[in-house]
Amino acid sequence: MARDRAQTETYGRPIRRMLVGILVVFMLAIFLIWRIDSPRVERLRAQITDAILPNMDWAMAPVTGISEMIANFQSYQRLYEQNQELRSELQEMRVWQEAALQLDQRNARLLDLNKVRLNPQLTWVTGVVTADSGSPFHQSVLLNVGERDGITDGWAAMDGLGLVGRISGVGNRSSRVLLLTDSNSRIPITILPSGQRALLAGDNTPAPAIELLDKPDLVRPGDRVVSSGDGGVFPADLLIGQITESPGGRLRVLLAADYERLEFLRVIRLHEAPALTDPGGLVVTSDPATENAPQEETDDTAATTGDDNG
Amino acid sequence: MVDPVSLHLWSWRLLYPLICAVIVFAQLIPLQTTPMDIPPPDLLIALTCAWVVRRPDQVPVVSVALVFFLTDILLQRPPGLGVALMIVATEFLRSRSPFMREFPFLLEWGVVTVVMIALALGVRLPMQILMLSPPPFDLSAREVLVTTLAYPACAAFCHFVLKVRYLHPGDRESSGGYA
Repeated sequence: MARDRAQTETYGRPIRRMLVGILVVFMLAIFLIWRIDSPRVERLRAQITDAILPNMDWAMAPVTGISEMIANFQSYQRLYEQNQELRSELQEMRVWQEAALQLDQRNARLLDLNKVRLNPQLTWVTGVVTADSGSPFHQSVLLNVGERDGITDGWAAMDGLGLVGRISGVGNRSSRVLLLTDSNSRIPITILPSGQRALLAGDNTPAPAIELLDKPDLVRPGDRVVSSGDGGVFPADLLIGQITESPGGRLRVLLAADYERLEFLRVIRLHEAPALTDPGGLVVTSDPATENAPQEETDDTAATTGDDNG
Repeated sequence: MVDPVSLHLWSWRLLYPLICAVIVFAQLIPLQTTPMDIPPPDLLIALTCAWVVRRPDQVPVVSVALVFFLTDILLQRPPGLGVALMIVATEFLRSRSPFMREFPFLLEWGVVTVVMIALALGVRLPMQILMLSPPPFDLSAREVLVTTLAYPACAAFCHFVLKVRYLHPGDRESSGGYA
């Protein structure tokens, strides 16, 4: 390479300029390829991230730990106030605990009456947050579980209480969770008790906005927001948060998950519901050409579909 | 073949990606998972500009390309776009470097600020043409402002800590420097 100008001034400069030009064009070509065939380049991105970041765990864990210790130490300074706050909160919590216990017993009785069995397939994989997106324009975190642990794109990630985001990008040892606050995040939701469907759209603020709401009059601050499961990509009835109204009059959602401290996340295993891809053998004689295409992709789901229809 | 001057030069060339790696990993540590109003400065751009202006020979194009391509990948940015712009920006600064050594610091700061604004606009324009949604305007404007404010600190870091300084005629190392 002719980078040392002093030595190769006469020949070096034009060659060097050409090489720089080629480099720039090459990078722009990568950008265009990413624009055209995003999934493939994103998979490449996930693989590169997967190759680099888990190896840096040893460096990241102590720094993260120490800075959290400093944050905790700072909170000692207002120990007395916190103590008072906690006492009053504890008092309130006792009231809620009592109410919850009563409801729990009642629920158990009702479930027993109905002979309901909860879905045993809704299990989860727990992962540790190892890195965040590192840029103010993207809200995502990296988990230390990946393809190896059976994680698949599109599954939901929760902390103990509420929904945090969904998996987007899986490497072998790591997977990326797109947080609800990211400006690319759109989640179908149901607002309780009115039961209205809407879309939760992240916009890089701590409280994501509600979009495509049919009748805003029926919704008031404090209403609960859960995932609706529309479109079949997400399990239904995961707690997301509460409605609030921003000063501009826009409806937003206060997230139930604690975004300040994302440390352990649960990835909810979602087993795809059997999709109806053919009109059913009884109604119309099925065309083998149209039936084969979906069957190759989802062999077992197509098989159960056939059973259900028959 | 390996004379002390070029050996010295290569150790600086290796130091640049190392410092960049430290900056990127510091950004990736999951301490801030809530969106913030004032974004942190993009130290990578500020440091690279300060370094290229002072010692263009220590920051070859290839290391700029490698460092910024990896950050594009790791920080979820559109891959390739930022690298291409950054190469153009550093080439611009590299060619102006012999003149900028005569500038007072305020003027250098002004030139770098213009480059940073051009970088931020240069990312937005192709994204809008290709119908991608660029980052919110006010957020990136604030980031440019914060990065500009961080530039003197980066320049001071280069000057006092790394001892990366302008070469003047008659310096011992200048044989590896400018033509």
